[in-house]
Amino acid sequence: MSYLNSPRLTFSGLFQADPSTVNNDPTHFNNETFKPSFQKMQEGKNANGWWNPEGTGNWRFLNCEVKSVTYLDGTSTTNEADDPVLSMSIMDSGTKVAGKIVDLDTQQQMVSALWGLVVRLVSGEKEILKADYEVASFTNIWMSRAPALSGDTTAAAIYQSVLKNIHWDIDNSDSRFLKELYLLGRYQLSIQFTVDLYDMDHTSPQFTIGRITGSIAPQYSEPSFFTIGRPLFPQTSKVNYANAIVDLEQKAVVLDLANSFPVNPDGNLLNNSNLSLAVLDSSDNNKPIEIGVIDFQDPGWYSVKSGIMSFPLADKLELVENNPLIILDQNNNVLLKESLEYVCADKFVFYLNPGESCEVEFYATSLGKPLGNRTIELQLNASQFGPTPPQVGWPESALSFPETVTLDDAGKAKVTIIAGDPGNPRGYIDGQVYGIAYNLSTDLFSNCNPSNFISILVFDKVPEDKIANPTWDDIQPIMQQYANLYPLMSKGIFNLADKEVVDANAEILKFVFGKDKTDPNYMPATRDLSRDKSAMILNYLNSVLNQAAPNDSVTFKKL
Amino acid sequence: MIFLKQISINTIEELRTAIQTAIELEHSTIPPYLTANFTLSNTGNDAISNVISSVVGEEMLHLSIACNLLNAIGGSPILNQPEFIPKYPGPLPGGVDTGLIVPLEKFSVELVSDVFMSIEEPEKPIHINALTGAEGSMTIGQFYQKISEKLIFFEKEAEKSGQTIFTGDPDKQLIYPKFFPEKLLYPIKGLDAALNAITIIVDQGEGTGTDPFVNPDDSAVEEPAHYYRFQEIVKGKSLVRDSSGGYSYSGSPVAFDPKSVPNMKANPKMADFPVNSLAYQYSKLFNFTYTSLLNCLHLAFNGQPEKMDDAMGLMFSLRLYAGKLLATPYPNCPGYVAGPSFEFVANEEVPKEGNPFMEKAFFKANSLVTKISVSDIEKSKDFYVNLLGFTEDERYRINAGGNFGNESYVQLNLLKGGQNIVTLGLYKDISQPFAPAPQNGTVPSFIVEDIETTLKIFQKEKIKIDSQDGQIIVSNTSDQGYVDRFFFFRDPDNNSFVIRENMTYTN
Repeated sequence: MSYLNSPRLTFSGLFQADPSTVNNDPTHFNNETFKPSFQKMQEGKNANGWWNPEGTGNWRFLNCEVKSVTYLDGTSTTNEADDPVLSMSIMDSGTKVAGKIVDLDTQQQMVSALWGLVVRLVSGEKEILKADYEVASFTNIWMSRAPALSGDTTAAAIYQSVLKNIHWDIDNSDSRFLKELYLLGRYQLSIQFTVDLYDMDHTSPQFTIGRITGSIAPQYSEPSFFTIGRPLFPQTSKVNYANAIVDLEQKAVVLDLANSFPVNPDGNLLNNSNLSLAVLDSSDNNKPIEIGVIDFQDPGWYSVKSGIMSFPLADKLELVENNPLIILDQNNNVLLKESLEYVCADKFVFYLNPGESCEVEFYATSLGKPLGNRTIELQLNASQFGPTPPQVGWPESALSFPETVTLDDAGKAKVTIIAGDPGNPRGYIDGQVYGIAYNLSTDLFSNCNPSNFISILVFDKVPEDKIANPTWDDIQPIMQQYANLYPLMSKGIFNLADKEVVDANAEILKFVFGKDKTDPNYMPATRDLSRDKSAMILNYLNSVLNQAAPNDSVTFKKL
Repeated sequence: MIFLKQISINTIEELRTAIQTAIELEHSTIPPYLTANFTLSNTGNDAISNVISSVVGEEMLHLSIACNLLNAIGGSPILNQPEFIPKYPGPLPGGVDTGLIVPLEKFSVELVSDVFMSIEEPEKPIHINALTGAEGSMTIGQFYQKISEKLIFFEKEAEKSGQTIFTGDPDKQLIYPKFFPEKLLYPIKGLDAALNAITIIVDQGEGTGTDPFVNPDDSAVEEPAHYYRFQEIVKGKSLVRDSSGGYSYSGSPVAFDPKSVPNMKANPKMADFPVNSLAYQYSKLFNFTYTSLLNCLHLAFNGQPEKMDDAMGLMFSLRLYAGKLLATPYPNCPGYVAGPSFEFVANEEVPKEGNPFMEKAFFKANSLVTKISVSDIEKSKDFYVNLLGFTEDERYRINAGGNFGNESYVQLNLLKGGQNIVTLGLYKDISQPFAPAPQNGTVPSFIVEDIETTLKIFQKEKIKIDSQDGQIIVSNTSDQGYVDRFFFFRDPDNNSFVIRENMTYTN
């Protein structure tokens, strides 16, 4: 059960992503060559600090309203009179700072993750539900979503994750939907959304704002970050990957096309001709048999229904269970076609310190059913990373993992990846980024969805004695780098490159550097500080505090 | 000096109400102090900023103490309601209507001397007595004095029947030793602790009456009370003890350099910004963050003290958004920047504004092309190209009938530094020049740097220039004292244009 099942709600509105962009250029990490102009907004051909050097890192929902609900029995409504949840809003936290959008690394910016995000369903001032969004990276980024635009504004991507630690306040609610959601999703919900039409023009009133539409539904017996289903692969360069499930309860195909078709700058489809969802009948020469019409004429298909469409199957259920789906245009051109054998890792972005390991869980399916007893091949692949220099993905010896793994009867496999010490191959950037491509041994990675790919940042090791007894000179280069790369912080709050400032604010800095990484107040917001350097900084701050008079007066007066 | 309305406290419930007012009062000083302080960021005025920051930190302490006090006697602090925030400009909570009006504005020495020092001014018994009698008002010191007296009174009454007014849940007492020394912010569980807590508030704010420095028991470091600390800014020097035993403002410099202070328009309101502006976006995010801070503090003082950690984060976040506002031009108000407005943003206000995306989608113009009706394309083109310096963008040319007949079109660009700044489309849809020359209607204005030079060139080229009573260059003065100067000229078809030199401030 996940976001495509019922009961589910859909929502749409806007989001804000306000990343700082000075660190978008890997060479800006080099303290030796850093120039003050790198902190300025780009001007004409001069890239300076790119398009948002003073970004806060914040990511939040704006103007997001619940647009439709689908009940457990498969019926839907968009009418507020039917269900009070249709007058409610989706918001982020109202009692702590915004969640943060974070690149894994300056040389892997294509899996940006949301950290410390709180998701709330609110009715006026009442919080109906409040939950923690499990850290998740976007995937299926598609750079041709809005082909008439330029830069990142052309792109769309999806985020899928789970909501945990849910607080419910539905005792007095007469919403049928909320009762059903609570019944099945009390402890965990699935949330998925598509983002596009992001505005990166700093003179625009919508600067850093884009469009979002998504779905929330109960989550259980499923991976957290993708939905096992019927993956549809693009058959032309004009469309993008889609997913669908066969809902056996409803005897229906539920199809998600939110991130699959190109749009104009106004958000409407480039081509709103209706399409056809069909199944290839293997008993009849793979003849396409229509399941239903994809109604792109419906103006609410995206903003109200979040691109999710349900097609009752009736007597075609068995046919669809055993044959691949396709999407055809009006001239019977095949636009998307189901991939017959599919493998996908659940979590696909990891941070590792030397000596640490992570476990990747793979799920393989064919026509939505487990594909067992097959082999997955894994290999290092840094081709998606950059810009360079410095060189990425080496030394290869810093990462160890098996070259193959066998799927069990349930189509599942686990792989443990162990990190060593890369030994500072990038010089001015800590650690190294590694990519691992994977595919079924009967397939090639180049035939797979390129987003089905594992990204890992492995940090460098710091000698034990440096960690234990750091001097200012030991931490200065790290602090200088943060001061360079995050001008909003260094100019607006603390200049971390200044020993006097760091020492005077040791208490508050210890507080934020010591936070849990999933706390939105954690520093650095970029979450690119290694275990060892973090310990070194905390030890330095502790030594300052031990030397200082008790109750360092500066702390609570620096508000 | 601030005068509060006289209040009567006859019941424990009225005492709780008075302490809630104290919480609101302590909070109400923070937005104006912070606003002034935000405008000093990165302006080289660190000495002044440190003074204001130190006062803000102590106002936060006072707010925390007052919340502990209210919790101690079984009340519940309320910080998460729109009414919690006073209107700026306006009187402070509990203040008399005729009293001091407190604004949100950029830092100035006058703001400190006229407003901040008035807020913190200690009681001067002689003339205060005269005033209180006359207006039914009291000072902040007297207000806290009254709370102290009533705490003693009600506790003594309660003791007679073996009870106490300190019935609050001890778990709601907030301490935060990371930042507030425990001798200043401690659990209030009885009368002595309560009275001492009030002494700390009054002493830090007003001093003891005999010494401008805060009693060392009531402070973490040696420092003057708020009033005298603000005076340091006005005098330009820190307050020091003289060898003679007296005091003087002769310590380290606390000088003000106004050069880089952003010209924030006073008392901004979110609603004053056009919805489709960056100032509005930042204002809303600032206010949402501020509202989140109040929500968070409300939880912290109502049984979830660990929320103070989140509150700290929100305070820093507030600074960042203030910085963004102060770097954003105030829409339609040349010369000014936006600023923080400290308004409550209810949940429902955040989403219920329609979807500006649609607005953006339908109208997000990149440039403007102005169509000009002309009777003779070639003659007009000659005028715009040779006299005004336009160049033709031939991609758009429509030469109807091969002789620029009816419905012909020529598009002209005016370039500056390689960038196109004005586009005109000459369109033949009239057979002769407008006659008489129209005196109103749409008139595009070219903004120039030196109107006299432009006029001289135009006169030399014999371009048709309008005059009114023999006067060519006329001027307008805006409500805010900005002056712009302009003259009208005509193209060969009597289409009207303006040459304008923008905005000089004469006040």
